[in-house]
This record gives sequence, structure tokens and C-alpha cells, in this order.
Amino acid sequence: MSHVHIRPWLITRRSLLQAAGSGTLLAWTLPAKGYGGAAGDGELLRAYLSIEPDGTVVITTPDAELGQGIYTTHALLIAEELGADWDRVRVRFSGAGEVFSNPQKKLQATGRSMGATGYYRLLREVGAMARGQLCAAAAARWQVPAGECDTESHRVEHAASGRRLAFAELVADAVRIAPPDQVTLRDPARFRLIGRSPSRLEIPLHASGRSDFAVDVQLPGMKLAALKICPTFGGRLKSMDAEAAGQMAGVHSVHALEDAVAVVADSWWEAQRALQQVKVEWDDGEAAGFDSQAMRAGLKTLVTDRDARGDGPPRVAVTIGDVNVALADSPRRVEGVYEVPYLAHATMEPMSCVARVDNGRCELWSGTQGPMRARDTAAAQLGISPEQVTVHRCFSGGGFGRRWQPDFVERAVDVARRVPGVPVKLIFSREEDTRHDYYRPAYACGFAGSVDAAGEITALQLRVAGASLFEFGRPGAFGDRPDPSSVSGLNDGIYRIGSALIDWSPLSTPVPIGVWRAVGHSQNGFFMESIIDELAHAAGKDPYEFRRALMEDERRRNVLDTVAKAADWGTPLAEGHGRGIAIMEGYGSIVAQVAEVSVRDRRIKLERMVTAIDCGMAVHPDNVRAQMEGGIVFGLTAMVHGAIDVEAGRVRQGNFSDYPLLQLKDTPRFETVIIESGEQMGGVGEPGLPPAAPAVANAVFAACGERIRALPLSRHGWRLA
Amino acid sequence: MQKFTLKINGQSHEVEADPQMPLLWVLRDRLGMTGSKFGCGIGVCGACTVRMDGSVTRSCVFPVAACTDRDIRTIEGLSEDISHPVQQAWIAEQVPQCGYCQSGMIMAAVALLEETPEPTDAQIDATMTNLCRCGTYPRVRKAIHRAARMMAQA
Ligand code: FES
Ligand code: FES
Repeated sequence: MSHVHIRPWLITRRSLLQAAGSGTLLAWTLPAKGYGGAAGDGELLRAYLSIEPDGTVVITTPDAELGQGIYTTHALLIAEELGADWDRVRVRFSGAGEVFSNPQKKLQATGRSMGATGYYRLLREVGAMARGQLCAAAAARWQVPAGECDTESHRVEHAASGRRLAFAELVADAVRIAPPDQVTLRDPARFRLIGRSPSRLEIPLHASGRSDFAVDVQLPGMKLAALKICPTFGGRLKSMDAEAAGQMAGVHSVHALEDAVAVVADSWWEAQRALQQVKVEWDDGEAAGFDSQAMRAGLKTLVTDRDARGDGPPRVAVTIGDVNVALADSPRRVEGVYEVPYLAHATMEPMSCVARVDNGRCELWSGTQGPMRARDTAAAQLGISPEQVTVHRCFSGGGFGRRWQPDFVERAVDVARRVPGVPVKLIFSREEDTRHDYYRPAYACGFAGSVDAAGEITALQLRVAGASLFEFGRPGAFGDRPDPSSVSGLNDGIYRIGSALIDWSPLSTPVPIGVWRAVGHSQNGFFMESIIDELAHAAGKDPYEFRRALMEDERRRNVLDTVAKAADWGTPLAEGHGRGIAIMEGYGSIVAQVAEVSVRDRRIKLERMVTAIDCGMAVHPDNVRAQMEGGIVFGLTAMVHGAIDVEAGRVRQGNFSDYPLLQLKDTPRFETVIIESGEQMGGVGEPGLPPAAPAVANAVFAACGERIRALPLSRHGWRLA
Repeated sequence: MQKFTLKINGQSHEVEADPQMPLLWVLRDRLGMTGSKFGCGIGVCGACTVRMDGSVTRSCVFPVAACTDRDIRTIEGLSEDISHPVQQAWIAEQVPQCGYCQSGMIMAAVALLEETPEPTDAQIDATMTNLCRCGTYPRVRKAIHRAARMMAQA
């Protein structure tokens, strides 16, 4: 059989690798030494916790604070066990180091919604160890067994005698006592902080403009740098004429990098202004032949034409029975194609990093999500050992996966090494940030499904196509198995299905791609839960009842029931209004949402979003709510506005004027119900996002009978009211 | 380069800059006042919001030459101890996530409440055009209503 090859541009594996540049390997699975959280380890304790002579407890978070609230979450885990007063707890950021590895990942990396789940036990043990030391110090003074002492309100207490000593009075003794080999964790029934939502410690800093992001770092003799990267992916700098620019006021120096021009100046504005005056010639490279419109047409062909081939044959994720037989037999059959575009992260703080390179040493100040990766990248680049690189972490003005990539650190180092000894603060302009991202890949999903009169799904065929996230930069890593992120959210087995075929056709492109909030679930949630809705309507069933009847798992059904009840599912609505429901499982949590919208003349008003989440246990329930709200706004921004186009290898969008975000006026009312199921704890930063778009799309269908299969809405004749 | 005298948060500052240099970069890179943030540079996102003679100004597109003899207020001047009612309301409603947009958001909210002490939802919608990538909007709305109540009682 001859195959149609979807290759509208010419790109080889080799040039792809070059286009990706160095340091783009995804390292989620890199081995790391890591600590298992063993008690009795003084080094571990010192890394995470110190108590000042005045009793102030200083806790070190190994993660980046990106807005997910981990700064507070980590502090409260230690403070709970320690028996510390919340208002005498301070937090600092860790540098890079194996001792800070996430025990679940064996790597120090902020992402996959694992900051709370991964460090939960380790940090409680750290707090309990320090409690043990403090109790031992007090017991020695009182000549009582340490086991009779406990901590509360920043004091050690001996209940039998009513004696108390403040932490401040015991610190000097306690540090000389070895941490206990074994610790007993507190009884959850006695928790004072966990589950109680104490005021988040980073918020006063943010509310006073005093939280330092990398863009805010100030060092003696520091200069500012602005950058213009070759607009075509993988292109190179051919030549530049910087004579005029070099003479402009405030300019320190102009540098020709391999694929970019950098200006170093006294202020960022002077650097950026001079950059416009540099005359540049680029060598565009092979990616100049790439066009995302042609590629996306290719994706649609891949999911509809069985003979079409991308990088290779489709890789099968799920097969149950024979879908062809079931589909052929069915009178209630639906089919179609869903599609989503490339997306940028658009963190509110553009990529930024301060670097100083001198005498075989390098210092970095950054909001990186991967400090070890940043450290090792800089070391490799400079040919020095990782120990010679110091990473100072700052608050991150949003991450969403973008700051996991080390490219911006690498670029800051690349500039700083050319001005030895001078600290250089590199800030991407918004345009550079938008045009040199690691994008959420564009995807298409072709489906065919059938139902019977009883509401059973007799067949479901899902064919997705798009670039592989985790084979980007390491082609063929998964052999003939699908990249897990390409089908995550499609193969969770939430619903009973008679026969199924789920496969993925990889199609690699020169566009840099990377993890983006909720990763594969970000598109697959929209595909799956919209398609299930189409099947519910084909069966003539209520979309909630239809889903419910096909769910075998109690826990999932409970989340669905909870959201339906909270959202008054089934009660009458005004003319032009509709409700839509969707559920997704990921990152260890189950999230269901009901959207209520009103629609008139293809103008949609987002009225209300109700969420139910079962994340096992909520360490900080109010922050769980905040993450649900944030995840929904992020998901709906993508649904309504988000699209990155690549023309001749260059991204067309550049700023919030052509890559708009949802605004306050567009935001619906939010309600969140947290289900404390007592199951294993799950993450909360990402799972709030995936159900949002399908819930809204399903609500639009309920309101006006039109099915949304392609995003963003703004490109398909819809507007927000 | 020219010399300018700016009155910021009630204090006078001498700076040397190109007349076209936006106030944002004068604040950040000349005066080391980094509370006002850079988000877009084209006046769209509001991360750089300051107040000038009371009105809301996006400092990334406002040249320093137009700032002399004006009363400039930044997040740094709102209070010494985070005691301004809007800051207090922001803490009570636990508004910020990453925090990056929040200085600008707070400055816009302060201006709104001075103009309109009891804003309706519709007035908040119309005025609060600052962008927040983290999606703190529902809490911004709540915090503005809360601050309005606090200021009415004070
Ligand atoms: S930085 Fe001024 S409005 Fe965006
Ligand atoms: S809090 Fe992160 S952008 Fe608003």
C-alpha cells in the first residue's frame, strides 16, 4: 500500500536536532541521587530548616514559586510538625542541589503538579526531626524523658509538670543534639496548619511590590541586556553592523551571538533601543520552509486518511475489540475532527536571568523551574564543573512549564561571559518571549463513535496527530509506543466502552515545543470530553446521566455527582442559557466542572464555573481553590483567544495585542467544592485546566445547538459577550 | 541625556535620561524602584501601572520628559507597612498567585476606589483592564469590594 507522506516542508532529523539547539533535552527522567527522606540526617535537616537565635523559623523551599503557592505549602508542612507559630515562619528559596531533589522525581524540578505530593513526607519528617532535637534539649534541662515533651506555639512543653521553654531559649542546645533516627509524625486529627489554609506567606510581599523576581535583582556594577534572536527557528546570525548602535547613549557593548544579537547597556530601555539600530542579516536555515497552516492541514489528513503517514505509522495506545465492526453496525454514529493550535506560555514576567561569569565561576539569579538543569547547562557551556555555578532563586512571574527550559539562562550566560565580572541582567522583550517559546504543540483528533439506545458506547475510535513532546530533541525515544503525553486523558478508562481504537501519528516539526500547563491533557481534555458529549446527545441522553451510567469507579462518580449537585444540574435555565459538564483525571486528582453560559448571535457570556476536585487531601484548601480558578482562566484564555501561527519558520504573534488574554470582565463566577476522600494526595496546579474548555463547549451546544470542534473561538466566528 | 526632577511618592529625585525614556525604566533602572513591573512595553498589560496626579498611567509608554511637575505615585509609596486598605483587602482575599501583575493591579484598584468609593461589578469590569496570566480576577473583584467596605468604615 502506498502511503501519503505528510511533509509539506523539508526537514531532516539532523537539522531538527540542530534547530533545537543544545540543552533542550527533556530531563524529566534523568537519574539523580536524591534523598529518600531518611530520618537522622543532619545535612538534610540543615538544608531545609534553620531556627534563628530569636526563634524565627526559616524554611527553605526546594521548588520555584510560580504562583502555585508552594512557598507556603512547603513551609506549613515543616511548621506543622515543628509546632511553630505561623507568624514566626519565614521562607527562602533553595539553590540547586541533589539534597533538594523531589523524592518522587529524583530530580529538583518544579512541575507535573508534584510540589506538595513529592515533598509531603520529606518535609514533615524534617519538621519532626527538628522537633525531636528541641524536645531533647528541653528534656535535658528538665531532667525528664524526651518522650514526655512536645512542641506547640513555638515552645517545648512538658505536660506533666506544666513547664515550657520557648524555641529561642533552646536553639543553642538543640543544634548540638543529633537529629533522631526515627521520627513520629503528628496525628492528622491534631493538625493546626495542614488543611486549615493559613494566610499565604508570599502574599504580603506581592501586595507591597517587594517580592524580588529575577527582573528586580540589583547588583553593584550591573548592566542590562536586550536580545534579538533570529526570528526563524534554527536560523543563525550571518552578519551585523553595530556601529551606530554601539555609539548610542547608555550602551556598553554589542555582541554577536551564534543566533542572536545582544546589547548591554545601563538600562534595559537603552539596550532595547540600540538593538533596533543594529543592522542584521540572518541565515534563516531550513525552518524557513515551515508553515503551521500547511502543517495543521497535514494533521487533519493524518487523522482522517488511514493511508496518510507522518513520521511513521500510527502508534496504538488502546485496542478493545474491533471498532470497525461495531461502527459499521451502528445506526447512532457520530464522527468529526477536532483541532487545536500552537500555544505560547506568555508568563507575565518575560524570560529573565541575571548572570555573572568570572574566573571560572558563574553566578545565576533566576526564577528557573529547574535549578539543577540551569546549573548544569551553564557549567557545560562554560566548561567548568557544576560546583563552580551558584544558582540564586527568585520569585517567578509565572512558569506554566516555560521556566523548566534552560534556554534563557543559557542566553544570559552567553552574554555575561563576554563581559567578564560584570553582572548582566537579561530580559526578553515581550516579542522575543512570544517568538522564542517552547510551544504547546498543535494537535488534531479525528473520531468516530457509536452508541446504542441504552446509552452504551459501542465503539470509539480516536486518532490524534501532532508532534511528540517527549521525543522532541530525542527522536524515537518511545520506539513503537506512543509518547504518553500524546494520548494522556484519552486512555484513562473513565468510561465503559464496548470497542475502542486509540492511536497517535507523530509529526515532528522544527517548532520548539515543551511542557505547557496540563501538558497533553490540555488538548486531550477538550477532545475527549467534547466527544463524549456528542455521544451522549447521539444516544438521546442527558450528558451528566450518560457519563454517570458509564462510570464504574466510585470515586470518579462521586466527583461527577458532587459537581452536578453544586451546579444545580437539571434545574431550568433562562432562554439562551446552557450548562455543560466535563471530567478529567490527571496529576493524581479528579476534577469535574459544570459551565453555565448564555449565547446570543454567536456571542458567548461565561456565566458560572462550578468545580469539584478530589485531590485526596488538601494541604491548603484555599490555595486549591485559587489553583482551580487560575487553571480555568488559563484554559479558557486558550479556548477563546490562544493561537500561535508560524509563517516561513517565524512566529507571527508578538505581544498581548495579538496574543490576548482573558480579562477580568470576561471572567465567570467561580465556585469550588473540595472533596476530602482520604485517598492518596494529588496535584492541583494543572488538573483544573483540562475540563474547562470542554465544559464551556458543551454548554454552548446546550444553549444553541452548535458544536465547537476547533479552537480558539475567536478564529471560528465566536466572540465573548 | 537631560536632567529631570521627578516627584515620586512625595520625594524629589534627580535623574539623567533621554527625554523619551519611559518612566517605567527611569523608576526601575535609574532609581532602583522595582515594584512597577515590565510586562509588555506597549501599554496593554498594566503591570507597570503608576498614578500621575491621581490618574492611572501605564508607565512603560509614558516618557520621562512629560513627568516633571507631576505627582507620581508607585506601589512603593502606598504604605510603609502594607497597611493601605487595598493591600489589606488583597491579603484578606489572598489575591496574588505569581504576584507579577499585582503591583499594577493594586495601583489601578486604588485609583478606582478613589474615583468610585463603592464600585459596582460593571464599574470594576470597565476599569480593571490589567492582565493577569495566573487568573486572579475573581479574587481581585472580591478584594475591591472588600476594600470599599473597609474604606467606608474607616
Ligand atoms: S508593561 Fe506597561 S502596560 Fe504592559
Ligand atoms: S498573579 Fe501572576 S500574573 Fe497576576
